Amino acid sequence: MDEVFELIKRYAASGNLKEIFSLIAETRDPVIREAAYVQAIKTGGTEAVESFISLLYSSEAHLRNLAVEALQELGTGYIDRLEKLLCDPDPDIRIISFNILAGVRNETAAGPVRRYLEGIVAAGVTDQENVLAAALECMGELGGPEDAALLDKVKELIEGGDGHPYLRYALQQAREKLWAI
Amino acid sequence: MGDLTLSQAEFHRLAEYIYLKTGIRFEPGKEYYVAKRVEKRMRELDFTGFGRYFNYLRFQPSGAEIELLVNSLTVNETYFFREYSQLKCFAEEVVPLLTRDLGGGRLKVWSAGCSTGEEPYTLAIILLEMLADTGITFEVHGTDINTNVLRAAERACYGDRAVKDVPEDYLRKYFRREGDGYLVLPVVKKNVRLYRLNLNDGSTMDGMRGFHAIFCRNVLIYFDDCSRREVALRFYRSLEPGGFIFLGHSESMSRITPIFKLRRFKEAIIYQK
Repeated sequence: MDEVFELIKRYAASGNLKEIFSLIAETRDPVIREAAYVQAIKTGGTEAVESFISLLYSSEAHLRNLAVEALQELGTGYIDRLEKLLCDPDPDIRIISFNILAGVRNETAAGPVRRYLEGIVAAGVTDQENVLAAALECMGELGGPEDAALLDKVKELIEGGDGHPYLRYALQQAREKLWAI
Repeated sequence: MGDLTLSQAEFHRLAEYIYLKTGIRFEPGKEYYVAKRVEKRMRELDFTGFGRYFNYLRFQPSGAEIELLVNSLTVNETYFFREYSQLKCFAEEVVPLLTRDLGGGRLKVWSAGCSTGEEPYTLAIILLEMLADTGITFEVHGTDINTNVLRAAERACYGDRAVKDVPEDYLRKYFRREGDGYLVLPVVKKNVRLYRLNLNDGSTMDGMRGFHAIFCRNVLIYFDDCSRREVALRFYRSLEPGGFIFLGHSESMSRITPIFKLRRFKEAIIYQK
């Protein structure tokens, strides 16, 4: 086990993220995966962020979860990149991306969520229900009272559609969170 | 700044946020208690309004502020035999497990973030009691990054509050009255090694090997997510196979890393390598 730890440290020292991510993806040993993951986070940078984004598409749930945690940790400097994921054709990736933004502890993370909601209001078309609910939940986490008007517009949009109860609930939750500040 | 008064809505919002982040629930009626501590943090950080402080709390990149606030709200006072049920579990369930396969060996226990020494001395007292006449010896390592608290630990003289939970017979057996305080006797002290150690220092941590149990209670809350994970990984490497790690009652290793197994005992839930 110690040899693998040393190997991971050497990979990190030489900036060899490719090998580190190979270990993350391929090893079955949770301790080795954890050690490689920690080194990848510590190394950071664009290559690490892109590699973690690739893991969001993995069929292995644990790898997807690791990628979410990593991108929440590293995401502050990559808000623009995360915003692009909100347009991913896969609705699951869009949901995950809102979850990531909600966990990025930075005020700038609210920007993409506002723009997303403004976008659907302008288009007059709601996204898939679970995606919109994730966006509203994220807004509840990141937004402030200044987002009241935007949420009113989203409410009109939802009511103008089929007024899905789940979306009404998500909207109500978001409003309560923001109003209470 | 005058006294801070939290409105019901502000208190509710803050309490919900703390619950979301830590699982600790502050019920209505705790407004004054919470407000006094929030006010102290705001004063230290030079904030004049709760809204701004709350935004800082939520968006500070390292997440350290929520930990500091929660720490002040959960009264981080240290004393002998703190979290008694966990120590009872260690004494009555974990130590027998660890010593079963140890033969005549030496049990190594680490109190990481030992502050002024109450925890390592408590562990030494427990081990003196549990290992008497077994032929098994032990050593307790107490480490902290703060040399001031280590000096106090070396003095090993404590006031009434620190020893309030020490059973009466242990107080007579392992302490001596000295002025207004209680001095830990050499029979305990000689089993405890105190030294400075930074849990974030990889090279030093690499030297911490062969431990059977690690106590790291209410320490990891000061670290950011990545450092916390890295420290947990280093603890893993410091432990012997089957070794145990004890965290504070409000902490969860499962939220930090998946590498430890959860073991459910009668008195507590402990993580195992």
